[in-house]
Amino acid sequence: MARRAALQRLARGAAVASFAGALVGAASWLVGGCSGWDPTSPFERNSPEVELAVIALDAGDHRTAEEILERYLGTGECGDGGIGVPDTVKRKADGSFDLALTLFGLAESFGEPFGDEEEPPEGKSPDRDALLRAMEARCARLIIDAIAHDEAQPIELRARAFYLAGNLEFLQGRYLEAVKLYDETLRLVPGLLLEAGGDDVGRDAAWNRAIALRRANLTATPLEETTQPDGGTDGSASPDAGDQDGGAPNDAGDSGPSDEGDAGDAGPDAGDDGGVPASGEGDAGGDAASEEAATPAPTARRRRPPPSAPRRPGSGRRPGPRSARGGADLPGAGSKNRGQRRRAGHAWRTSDHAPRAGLAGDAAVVCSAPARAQKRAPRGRGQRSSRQVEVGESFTVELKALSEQGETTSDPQLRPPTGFEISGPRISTQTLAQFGGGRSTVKSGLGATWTLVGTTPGTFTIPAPSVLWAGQRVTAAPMTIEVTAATGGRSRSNPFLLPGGPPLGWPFGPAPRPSADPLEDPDVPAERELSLPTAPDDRIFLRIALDKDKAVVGEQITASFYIYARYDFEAQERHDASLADFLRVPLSQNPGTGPAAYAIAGAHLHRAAARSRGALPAARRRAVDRQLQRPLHRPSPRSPGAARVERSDHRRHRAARRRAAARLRDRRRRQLLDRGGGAAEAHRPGRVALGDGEGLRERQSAAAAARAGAQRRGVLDPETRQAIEAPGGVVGGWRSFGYVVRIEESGTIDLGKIELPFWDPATHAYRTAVAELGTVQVAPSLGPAGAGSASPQATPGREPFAGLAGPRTALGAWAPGRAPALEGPRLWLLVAAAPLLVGLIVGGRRLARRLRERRLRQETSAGALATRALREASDAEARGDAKGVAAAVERAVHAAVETATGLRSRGVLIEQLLPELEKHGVERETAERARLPAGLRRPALRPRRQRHRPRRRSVEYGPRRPVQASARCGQGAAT
Amino acid sequence: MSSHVRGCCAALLAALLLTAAAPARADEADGEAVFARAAEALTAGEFGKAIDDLEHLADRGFVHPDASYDRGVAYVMRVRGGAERPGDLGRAAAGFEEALLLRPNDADAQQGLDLVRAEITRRRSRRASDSVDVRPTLDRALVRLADEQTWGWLALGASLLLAAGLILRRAPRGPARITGSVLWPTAAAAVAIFLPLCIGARHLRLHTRPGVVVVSEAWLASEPAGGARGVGVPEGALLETSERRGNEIRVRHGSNAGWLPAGSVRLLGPPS
Repeated sequence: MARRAALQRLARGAAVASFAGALVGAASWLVGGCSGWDPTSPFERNSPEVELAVIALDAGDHRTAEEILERYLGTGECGDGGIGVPDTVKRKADGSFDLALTLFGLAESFGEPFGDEEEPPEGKSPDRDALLRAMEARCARLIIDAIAHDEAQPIELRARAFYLAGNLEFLQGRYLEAVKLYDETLRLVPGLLLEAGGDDVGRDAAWNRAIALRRANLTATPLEETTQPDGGTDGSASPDAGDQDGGAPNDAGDSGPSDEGDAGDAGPDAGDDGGVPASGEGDAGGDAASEEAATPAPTARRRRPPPSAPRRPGSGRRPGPRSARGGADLPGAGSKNRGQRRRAGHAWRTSDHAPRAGLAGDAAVVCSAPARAQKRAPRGRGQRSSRQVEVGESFTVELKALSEQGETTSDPQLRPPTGFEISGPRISTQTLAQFGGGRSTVKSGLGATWTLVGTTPGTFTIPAPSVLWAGQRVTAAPMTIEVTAATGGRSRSNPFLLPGGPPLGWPFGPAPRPSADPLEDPDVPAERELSLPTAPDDRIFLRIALDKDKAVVGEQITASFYIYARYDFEAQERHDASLADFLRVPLSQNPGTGPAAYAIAGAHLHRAAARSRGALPAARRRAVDRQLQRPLHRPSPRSPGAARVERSDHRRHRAARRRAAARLRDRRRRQLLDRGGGAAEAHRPGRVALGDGEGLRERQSAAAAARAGAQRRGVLDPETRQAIEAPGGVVGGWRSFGYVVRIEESGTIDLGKIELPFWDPATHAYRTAVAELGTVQVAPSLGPAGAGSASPQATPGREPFAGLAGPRTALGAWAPGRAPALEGPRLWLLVAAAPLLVGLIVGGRRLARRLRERRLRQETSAGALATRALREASDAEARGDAKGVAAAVERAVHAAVETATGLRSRGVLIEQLLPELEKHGVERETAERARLPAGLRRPALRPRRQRHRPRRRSVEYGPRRPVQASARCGQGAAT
Repeated sequence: MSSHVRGCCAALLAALLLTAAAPARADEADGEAVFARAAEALTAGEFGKAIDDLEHLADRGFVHPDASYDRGVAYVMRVRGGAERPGDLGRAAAGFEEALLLRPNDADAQQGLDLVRAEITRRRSRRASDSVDVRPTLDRALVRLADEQTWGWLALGASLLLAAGLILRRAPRGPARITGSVLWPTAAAAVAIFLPLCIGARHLRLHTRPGVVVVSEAWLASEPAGGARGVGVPEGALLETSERRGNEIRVRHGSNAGWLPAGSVRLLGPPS
C-alpha cells in the first residue's frame, strides 16, 4: 500500500510539474513573441527611447525622432556648428545610426528628394534649402563618421554607415565624395548576391556608386572628363563596383529587370566596359568617352532625369530605420550578367555615356598595359576617322603608341575583318609632353595610319590595332564601324585608291601635308607680338603679359596667359595664379579653346596657346612678381594725373566699413547708397564703380537676410553677391554686401555711414561714395525663452538654449542646510552606545557570577571546613558539649587530612587510614596522630535511608549547621 | 545678587543679542533687494548688470538656490546675446550646479545644466577635442551612493540591531535565540560597512568642496607650481576641490587628481 501511495504521489507531482512547465513555456512564448524579447539574447533589449524614435520615424515625424535620439545619445541639437559627438555615439552605435538616418531624412526634406537633386527646386528658396540640407547632412556625417571609422563596430554596421555617408554626399551633389564612400562600403561588404554571401548594402552601394559616377562625369569639366573618365581607380588595388564581383554571375553595376532599357547606353556602369564584347555594343562606352572628350563640355549642369534613381537607405523596400538592436533593411540591387566582359589582367577605362549615333568623329580608347608588367607600358590610342561609311568610302584608322622616352615601339599591326580593304600603315613619330602634379613627362612613340575601304554593308568590329613593345603586343581598343550601302552622295576621299594597293602619290608636285606639324613648317607665320627673344624653357613655358606696368588701386589691368610649347601636351592639372591682391575677371568665355598662334621664342617656333585672359582691377598697392613672363610691350601708365591711393587710405576705408557694419541692427538690412550721402533708400543701387560707365554697384542686399546664417551672433563676413563682367574688355557690374550682425547694446544706435573710395577711370581720379546708415532703436533682448524666436528666419529647435526656463524674479522658499543633527562624536557615541551597553550588562553579569562561584569555592574548600570545624569544636568546648567537640574535631581532622593530602579520609576504613596516609606521603608519626582523632566517633557502618528532599542550590551553598554537616560527612564516609 | 542687578544684566544681554542680530537681518534684506534688482535686470535683458549684481551677492556670501540659478541664466543670456566671454558657459554651469547643490530637486536648474553641458560638448566636438571620460574612484562612488545623514542613520540602526541581537542571543533556546544568533553578526557587518561610509562622507563634506571649471579647458598639474601638465578638464566640469596652496588648488576630476590655478575653478556653495 505504501508503495502504491508513493507512486500515486510521484505521478501527481509529475503532472503538476508538466502543467507548470507548459504554463511557463506559453508565457515565455507570449513574452518573446509579443514584446520582441529574444531568448537567445536575453540581456539585450531595445531602448524604449529608440523604440519611440523608430515609431516616430516610421510615422514620418523626423523631427520628433531626432529630438528623442539626440536626447538619448546626449549629442545636443543639430545646429549650424554641427552636433556633439560624445562617447555615447560609439557606445550606442545602433541608436547613433538611427539618428544619422533621421538626419538624412531631415536633410532630404529640404529641397528635392534623394535622387532628384539635379531637378530645380519648386517653391522654395534654393539657397535656404541648400543650407538647411547641408546643416542636417553635416550633423549626420559627424554622427555616422564616428561609427564608420570605429573599427570596434561590427563590419555590417560600418558598411551601412559608409553607405549612408555616401548617400549623404550624393544628396548634396558631391558625387566623387560619394563614390569614395561607396568604395569604402564595398571594401567591407562586396556587392554580391545574397546567395553568394553578399550583402544588400554592398549591392546598393555599387548601384549608387554607378549613378554617382555618371553624374560626376556629367558635371565635370572637360579636363576632368579626359583625365578621369571612370572616376574609379582602375588598375589599382581599389576596386570599383564592376570589379567587385569579378567573374561572379551577377554584377551590381547593372540592374535587373528595371534596367533593361539601360543596356543600350551602357547603363550606370561603374565597372569596365572596354573588354572585348561579344557583339558590337560593347564599345559604346569607349566611344562615348571620346566624344565627350572631344565635345566642349557643358558649362552648366545638365538638367535631365537621372538614368535611374539611386537607392537610398530610407525608402522603397526599406521597411524602417535601423533600430537599436536590429539592422536597417536596406534594399538590394538588381544584377546583370557581365562577368564575361571583364578581361583579367587589363583594366579598362571607359565612360558610361550613351553613344551618339550618327556623330562622325574620332573615337579613342585608352588602354594601359597588362598589370603584371613592371615597366610602364606604352599608351595606345586608336582613332578612326568615321563611324559610318559607305561601301567604297575610305576611312582611316590611326594608332598612336606613346611610351616613356628611351623605350621603343614598333611593328604596328591591324587585321581588319573580311569585307575591308586595307592599305598602309604610314608610320610617323609622335612626341607628347605632359605637365601637372609638379612634374613633367615627355613621351615618344610612333603613329600608324591605315586606310580602309569597306566593301560589304554591315556593322563590323575592327580588331584593336596593336604595337610591339618590350617583346609583347600592346593593343588599343577595337572599334566598330558601320558600312552602309553606297549612295553616291558622299565624295570618296581618294578616288585613286586601289583596293589593297598603296596610295597613289600626288602627281602634281609635292603632296599636300594637311596633317603635318605646323611647327616643322617654316612657312607658318609667327605672331610678332607674341614672339620672345629668348625662351625660358626649350620645350614649354608659361607667360603672362600685362597691358600696363603701373596702376592705381582700382584701375583695371589686363593680363593674358599663354603657354608656349613645342610639343603636343596635355595639361593634367591647372593651377591658376593666386593673385590674392587682385580682383580677377575673366575676359574670355572659353579660355584655351581659341585657335593657337605661333610665335618665335628664342630660336624656335612655339605654339602659343592663350589659356586665359583676365582683367585684374587692383585691390592693393603691391608690385606684382612676374617670374616667367616677359611682356612684349610696356605701355605707359594711363593715369598720369590720377592721385595715387596710398595703403592707409584703403585701410581707412576698410576700417570704416567694419565699424559701420559692426553697429548694424541684428538681422536688419540697410541699403547702402553711393551717391547723395543722405538717408538710406531701399533698393536703390548706387554706382561705386571700378571701370567706366557701367560701374560697379555696391549695395546692401535685403535678400541676404534669408540665408541660414542669420541666426549667428556678432558680425559675420558679409555675404557678397556680384555680377561683374567684362563686356568689351572693360570690367563693370554690381556688387552687394549683406551684413548680418547683432548689436550688443540697447538704446538708440547711430549706425554712422559707409564710405567707399573708388577709382573713377572717366575722370582719372578717386571719388568717395558715402551712405548714411541712420539710427536704429535697439530694445533690450528678451529672456532666454523669447530670444530664440526673435528671428523670423530662425529654424525651430536650433537654439541650443531654447528649453531653458526664464529667470526667477523672487526668492523661493528655501532653508539653508543645517549641520546634521547626528554627526561627528555625537553620532559615534550613539552608534557605539547600544552595543556597549549590552556588552557591559552581559559582562557585568558574567563577572558577578564568577565572583560568586569563586566565593563558594572558597567556602566549601577542605581548609575552610577544617577551620570551621575547629571553631565549632571551640564553641562546643565552651558549652561543655564533649560530644560536639569530638564531632567537630573529627570533621576538622578529616578536613585537614583532605586539605593536606587530598585524601578523603572519611571514606577510608580506620584500619586502612594509616597506610593510606603513608601512601599520600604523610609521615607515620603524623599519620598515627591523625588516626586517633579520626577514629574517635567512627559511626557504625549501617545503611541509611535515602533522602528524597530535593537539593536546592541555596541550601547547598548556604551555611550549614554543624549537625547537618556532621551527618553529611558521615553519609559521605559511608558511601 | 539683588534683583536690580539681575535685571540690569538681563537687559544688557538682550541688548547685546539684538545688536548682533540686527546686521544679519539688514544684510539679508539688502541681499534680497539686490537679488530683486538683478532679477529685474535679467528680465529686461540687461544681463551684464544682472551678472554684476548676482556676482556681488555671491561675493557677500548670500546663498540661495534661486540666486545661483539666476546667475546661471544670466551667463547663458550673455552667451546667447553674442557678448560671450571666455568661461561664461562654465560659470553658467557653476550657477546651475550650485542651485542643484542647494536644492537638489530643482528641475529648471537641472535642465539648464543639461543644456549648458550639451552646448559645451558640441563646441568641443567642433574643435575636435577629445571627449573626457569621468570615472569616479570606487571609494567616492560608494560614499556618494547616499549622503552623510543616510549613512549615519543606517549605522545607528545597525548598531541598535546589533545590540538587540546580542540580547536575544542570550535568551533561552528558541526563536528569540535563533533570531539573535542571526541578527547580531549581520548587524555587526552592517555597522562595519555603514560606519566607514559615514566617516568617509563626513570627511568629504568637511575637507572637500565642489567646484566647476570656468575656463575653456584646464589642465591638471602634478605639482602645485610648475608640475607636469596632465589630463585636460573641460569647461563646466564638476570637480572636487580640497587643499589650496597659494594660487593653486588641488582638485579631483573623476579618477584624475592634480592641481589647477584657483582662478580656473569656481567653488560652489558655502564652505562647510
